[in-house]
Amino acid sequence: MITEDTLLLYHYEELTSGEREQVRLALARDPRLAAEYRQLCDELGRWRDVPAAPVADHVRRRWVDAIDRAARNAPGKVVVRRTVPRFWLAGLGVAVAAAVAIGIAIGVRLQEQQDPGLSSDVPLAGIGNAAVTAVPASFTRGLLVHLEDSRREITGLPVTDEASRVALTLQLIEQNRLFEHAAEQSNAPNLARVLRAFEPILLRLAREDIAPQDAEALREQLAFELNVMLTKLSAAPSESAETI
Amino acid sequence: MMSLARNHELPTQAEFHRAIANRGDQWFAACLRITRNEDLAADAVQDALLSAWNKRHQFERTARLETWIHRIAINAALQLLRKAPSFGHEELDEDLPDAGLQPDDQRAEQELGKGLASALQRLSDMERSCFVLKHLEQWRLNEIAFELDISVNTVKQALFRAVKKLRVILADRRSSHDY
Repeated sequence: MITEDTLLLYHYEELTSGEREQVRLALARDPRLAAEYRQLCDELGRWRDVPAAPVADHVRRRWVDAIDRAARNAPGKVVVRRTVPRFWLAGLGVAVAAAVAIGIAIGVRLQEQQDPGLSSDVPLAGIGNAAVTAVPASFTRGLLVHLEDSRREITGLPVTDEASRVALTLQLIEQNRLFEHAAEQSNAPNLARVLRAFEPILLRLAREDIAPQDAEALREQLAFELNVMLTKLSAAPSESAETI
Repeated sequence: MMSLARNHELPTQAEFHRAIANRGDQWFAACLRITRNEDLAADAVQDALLSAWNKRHQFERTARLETWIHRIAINAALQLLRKAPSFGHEELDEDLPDAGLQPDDQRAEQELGKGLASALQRLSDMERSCFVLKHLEQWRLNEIAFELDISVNTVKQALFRAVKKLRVILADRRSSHDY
């Protein structure tokens, strides 16, 4: 009995020579089976011609830049960094998570007069809950992946390696600006304002003359808060981001 | 003698640039088929390029640089996909609503052709990965099993399910949308 699965393996040339011969004989003997096989091949053939859409210019530039940076750093190995995590709409949740973590760590509060809806005693986490309600649950997976990456990067932040610390912090600033822009695009001005408030602090963290113990304290707190966010997300992977 | 020396030459920055210009679209498309997410696909290609650059002493001139990077990019995409919590979990495709497409899905739809892209959305990550690697990337079953860290039999079963589902879904589409 030759099944459709066997015909598929025959088509893909994944059978042993003995099995292939068996199928070949069956196809020669049985016109109905042969017709079935032709139909399978026709369908599979239609699925093969897939045109490639051009990649966006900014993505291609990013790849070229990555190689150029790697070439400049040769012969040492290049650490892979995500230049722009662009889960923007989904990433609003990530931005809030990172914002909350940083905000708690450094005690940033919005001035009440700048945002009547927020008390100066309310931690930024409160803003996050409101702001992420628009994030579709389908993006939760992306959030988790990004949070895990962020946690790894923060955990490995070399506070005593000035150049690396500065580079990573500048990268965080770049991401922060992107998320801030995304927040504005998504009609979330409160969130954009919160994100904008982080920049001066991140810039201080990026300064070369910050004391290693101060940088370490910030790093530890940030890693802790990211862990908390990750735990919350992981606890409800299929739930809406509203639950974060 | 010249060719021997040439074989040991490292690929240059300019060659990487040319490869990106010539084959960037294909790398991205291949990664997008696996991840169904533009950002992950772009990251996978970038990871692959940096990995290839760091390991360029392993590159042999008998192969094409573009092809070598393509393979690394696929592996990078699989790595990113494996981080996803849903990978390896079967999805109940019968219960999936025919939801509107997300932006990434829209791009994937342009990429794969309307019918196939929609149909691929109905597969689990495992089924889609096995199908894409086998059918579009033309990997051997044992290569897929090795890269996904599963048995060949599991790959076969995922592939069988994928093809069965695609045939049913696309047949339905043909009858209802004159696909």
